[in-house]
Amino acid sequence: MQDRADSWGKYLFVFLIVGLASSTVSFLLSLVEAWDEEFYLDFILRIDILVGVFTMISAVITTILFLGWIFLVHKEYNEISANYPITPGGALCRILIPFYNIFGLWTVYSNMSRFLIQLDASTVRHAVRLRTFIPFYYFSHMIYSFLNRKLLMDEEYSISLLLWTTGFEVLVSLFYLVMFVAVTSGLKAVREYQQQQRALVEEGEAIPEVT
Amino acid sequence: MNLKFTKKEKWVVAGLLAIPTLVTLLLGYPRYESFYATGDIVPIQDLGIDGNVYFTYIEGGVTNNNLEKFLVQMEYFGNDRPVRFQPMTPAEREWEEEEMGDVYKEVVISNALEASGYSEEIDSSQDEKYSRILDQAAEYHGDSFGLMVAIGLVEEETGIDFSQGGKYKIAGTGTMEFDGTVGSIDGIKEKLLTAEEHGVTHFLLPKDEEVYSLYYEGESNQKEAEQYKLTVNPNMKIVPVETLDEALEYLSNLP
Repeated sequence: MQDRADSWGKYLFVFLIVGLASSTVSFLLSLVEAWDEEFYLDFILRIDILVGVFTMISAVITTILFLGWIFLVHKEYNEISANYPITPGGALCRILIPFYNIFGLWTVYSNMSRFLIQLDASTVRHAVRLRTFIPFYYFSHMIYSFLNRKLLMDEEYSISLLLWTTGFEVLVSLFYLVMFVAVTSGLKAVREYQQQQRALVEEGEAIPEVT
Repeated sequence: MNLKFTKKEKWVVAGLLAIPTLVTLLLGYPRYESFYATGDIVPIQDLGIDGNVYFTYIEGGVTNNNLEKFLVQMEYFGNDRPVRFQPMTPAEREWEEEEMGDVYKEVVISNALEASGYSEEIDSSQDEKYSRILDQAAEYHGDSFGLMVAIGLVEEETGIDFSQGGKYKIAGTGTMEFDGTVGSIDGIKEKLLTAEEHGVTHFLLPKDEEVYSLYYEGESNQKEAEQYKLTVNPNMKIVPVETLDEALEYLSNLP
């Protein structure tokens, strides 16, 4: 299970980096459009469209990888502790189901953070880091979703809306990456804690129950 | 974070990265084509000319790569309308890039005024008319309405109604040269279908069989029209004309 979660994590990490790079390029090209529309239409538009295509397809793959990875991470947490509050399927539901995900997305990480706090002193700093980033991740994600929907649905084209949307796309990409690192580090700390516990068992010491 | 990739993981990452890269390259691959779809017939009065004939316009444009072609196909597929693509020659690409269609639009309006003999004695009247037509034609791209503009101007100047009070619905296409010759145009099949769909009784088009190959590649407008099978409106008469005079003579002799 660990190996699969790690492999998916590596794939996801690469695609998050790619997403951050391509969204940054999109943002820069939008700035060119705002700066000189004629130049943009003559020389940049075709490149921008292709960057958009690349970003869109990468985003689809990233989403699949992210869902697979978060499923595997939750599966591992559930194997570590039978009392872990969110099942792998529950985590996916909290992310995917419309309206439910408005608070569900937050609880996926807040529960993870709470679990790390309760687990051991060695995992607390990871919990604190994770909890610190949740609001940034959550609100940038929500604002970006709103802006993107507005950009697609508005009949009148607005360059300022485009700039805000592409700007938030960069932020979202960045916070996804930060959250990924925070979750991965937390999981790694939990694994180390488990190893220590096993070592203690082998040495004949009692093992406290993981809650 | 352990980011050491095994050999298998490297292959998986490479394969996954190849998907967006290859799709983007495939969609971005150059494909210079022009596309044509049916459009509408427009009363010549919409150009500020007091005539009773119609000009035909079709929807069209150019695609520069596979993605643009795909998007055009999707748009017309969504509207359940056929669209035809045709590869562009380098000369046609240059024509589009230089936006020569709009330049020639100005030329055919000027030629139509000359060829129709509109207010020959009063230069300022021709200038005013020219500006008005050009202004009204701003939303139309290209020069294929030249013949119908000239016929409309003749109607306005002489007071003749070629439609005979609406008995006939006369439409057409073709450019207008300075000597009154009717020049070839693009998208003849779609223009014929558009005319059929709008109940046109007589459709005028360039009689260009002999001269077409001197300037262009492919089949002439006349040849394409001969091969065209009327499906929606079998009674529509297709009338190839070489000059404005020939068109006027035909229309004047309608029963």
